[in-house]
Amino acid sequence: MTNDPRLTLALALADDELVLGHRHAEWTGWAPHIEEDLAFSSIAQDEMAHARLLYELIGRSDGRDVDALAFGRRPDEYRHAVLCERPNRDWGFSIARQFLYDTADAVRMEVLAESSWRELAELVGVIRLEEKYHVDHAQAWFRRLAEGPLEARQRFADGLATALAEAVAVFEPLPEEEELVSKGVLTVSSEELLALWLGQLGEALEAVSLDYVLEHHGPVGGEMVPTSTGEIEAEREALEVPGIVRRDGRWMHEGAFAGAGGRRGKHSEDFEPLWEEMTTLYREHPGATW
Amino acid sequence: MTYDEKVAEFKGRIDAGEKIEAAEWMPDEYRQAAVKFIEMHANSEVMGALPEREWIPRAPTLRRKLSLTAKVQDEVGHGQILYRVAEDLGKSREQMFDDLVNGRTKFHNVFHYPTFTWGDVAVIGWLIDGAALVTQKALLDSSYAPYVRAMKRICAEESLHLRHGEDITLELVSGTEQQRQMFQDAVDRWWQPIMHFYGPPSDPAKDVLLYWGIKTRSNEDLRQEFFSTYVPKLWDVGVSVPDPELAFDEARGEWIWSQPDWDEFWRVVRGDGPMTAVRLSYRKAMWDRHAWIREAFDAIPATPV
Amino acid sequence: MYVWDVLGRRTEDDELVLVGGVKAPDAQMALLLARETHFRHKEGVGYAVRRRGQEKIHPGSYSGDLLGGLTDRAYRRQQAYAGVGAKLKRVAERMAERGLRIDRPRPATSGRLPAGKARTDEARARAEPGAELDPEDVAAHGTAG
Repeated sequence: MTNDPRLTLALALADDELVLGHRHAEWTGWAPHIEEDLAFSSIAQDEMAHARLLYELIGRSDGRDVDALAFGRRPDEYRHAVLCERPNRDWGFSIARQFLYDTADAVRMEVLAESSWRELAELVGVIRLEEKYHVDHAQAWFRRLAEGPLEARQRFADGLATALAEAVAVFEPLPEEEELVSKGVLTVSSEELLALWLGQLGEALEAVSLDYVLEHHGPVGGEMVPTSTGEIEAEREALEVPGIVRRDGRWMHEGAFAGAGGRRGKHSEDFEPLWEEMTTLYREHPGATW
Repeated sequence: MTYDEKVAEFKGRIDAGEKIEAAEWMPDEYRQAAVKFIEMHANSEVMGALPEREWIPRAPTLRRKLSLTAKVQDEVGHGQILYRVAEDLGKSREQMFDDLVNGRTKFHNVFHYPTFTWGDVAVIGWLIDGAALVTQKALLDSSYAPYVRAMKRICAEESLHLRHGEDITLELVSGTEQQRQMFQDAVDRWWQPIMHFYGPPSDPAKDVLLYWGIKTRSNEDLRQEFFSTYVPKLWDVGVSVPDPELAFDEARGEWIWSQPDWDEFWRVVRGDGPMTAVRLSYRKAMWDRHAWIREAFDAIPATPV
Repeated sequence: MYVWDVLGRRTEDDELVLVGGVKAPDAQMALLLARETHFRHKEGVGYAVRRRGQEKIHPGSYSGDLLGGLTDRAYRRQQAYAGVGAKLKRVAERMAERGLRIDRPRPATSGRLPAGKARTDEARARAEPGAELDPEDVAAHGTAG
């Protein structure tokens, strides 16, 4: 692996985009509404294309080609947030995850556009322009489901509750964070970014009376298996999850991150099967071109 | 004018090469034939997405992962375009999806088969898309104008898919021995569904679609064009087809070929293909369990933003 | 849920023309979706939707370069595969050198054969309006996939 903390930062960003793009792309061909299938596939492609740009940036420094970076590393060498590797479950979860991730990403990107690492800042400047659509898309669904019929609202709320704890960990700092902040590569700490995002999120949720999800998080993980009876397997327990509290009228993060470890290469039980599926063909034919 | 007189006049216009628009009067038989044909075409696009989408998570390079996602996205897009055309002829899209996932309407035979390797992705992307493009170009002459407009866009996108499929194929056949074998194996496995692609020799008495000009070329005409376009290229790159008879007969001016198993063809048409039940059940599960989204959409009044 | 006509402007100098339709619950969602259903391949620089049967036009908020993406979309474009024909020739030459080319009878040119056209002309002449088409008949006609 690399010693330059900037490359680790770029890797974390790239891995977030690749792994989430991989999950989003699994909706291509069977999303719930045919026009939405097309829109969501474009979002998936954007994420993977952004990953590619970031791998190219890394590769210019350490010599590895894009595919070696994307598909040639061991699972513990990937630095994405655990949120990104979770299976799609149902549309309620997937759209909730897209909303949480892309609003978080927007906060992060705004700050990275000012990075002292000029090459990254320039790349982020372009990427942000494409990401605007992702936020528009997420907000359009957010409103229509949160303010929709009872079942739509419930399913979206469940999705938010399930995704939320690990969405917070998108802001889990890299081990190298102190150095990145001191060098101005990150102009704002992850903790501050998280506070900013939580503030926005809290407001958005309060506006539709869904702020209760910030306090009652659901369990994470679990496969969605389509069955002919249409039943989704989901356990629902209200867990007390550390991390998000309301103080002085503001939502804040305190203490540990649920689902943390992604930034240190520690992933959930869902990553290994994803990694196998994503990388096997590449790894089985070293040196082959496709 | 009596109904029969109107029908005769309508038929005359079609035979003279005129195109029909959605808002015009049309015989019930024409409307029904057009809906069924276009509906099945739309069904085939969305069912065709299923074998290929399996390889997006498994693509061997980031570039192919992106291009395959875009390709499958386009197939879904073709479905969207075609369902719109069929819907304007009088059958709702919700009804069409419901009929598809419950096995009441059909989709093209070729999408009832499993995929096993990246070689299959190459065969589907080049030979099967190639077979489809031959048919689709012929539909540019269809009598129904909205269908023609849809086909223009679809053919343009399919031409890109074809080059993409050819590019994937060329990497395999010029790659490692394992890659060459991967492609040859896939061709051997897919040859029968490809031979089934244009259907059995058509019976003119049942050629309602030719009669109304919705379809404009016979099955055999299309099959011959497919052979002429693709078989020489396969042979040029050293890939054989598992039909010892297949060859061009100079004297007759056409390809001779072995009859595939037409019993298998009819079994698949009747819904008994290797992957029919599995793929329909996935689609049905997705359709049924997301009814809440349709309900949410239906509940929204179309007030201006 | 309604049908929305999708309108597109090819270049800055063009008018908005009908390019297709989407189904969506409202104008904002229709615009959000239309951007990707009809403009992801750089088909235009501006777009709008209009609910079927109504007059009001709702313009889209994205325009110019942003429609169809800013970053590299070569994988979706014809020019990325422009060299494929030449590649086929090179591969064919290499296979021939290696003795792998399969030498069986083939026509002088590719594409539609006169014999094929003759078959269609004959079939059309004999075609009749039949009884109502059942799905198996349609399937047997080998519609495009």
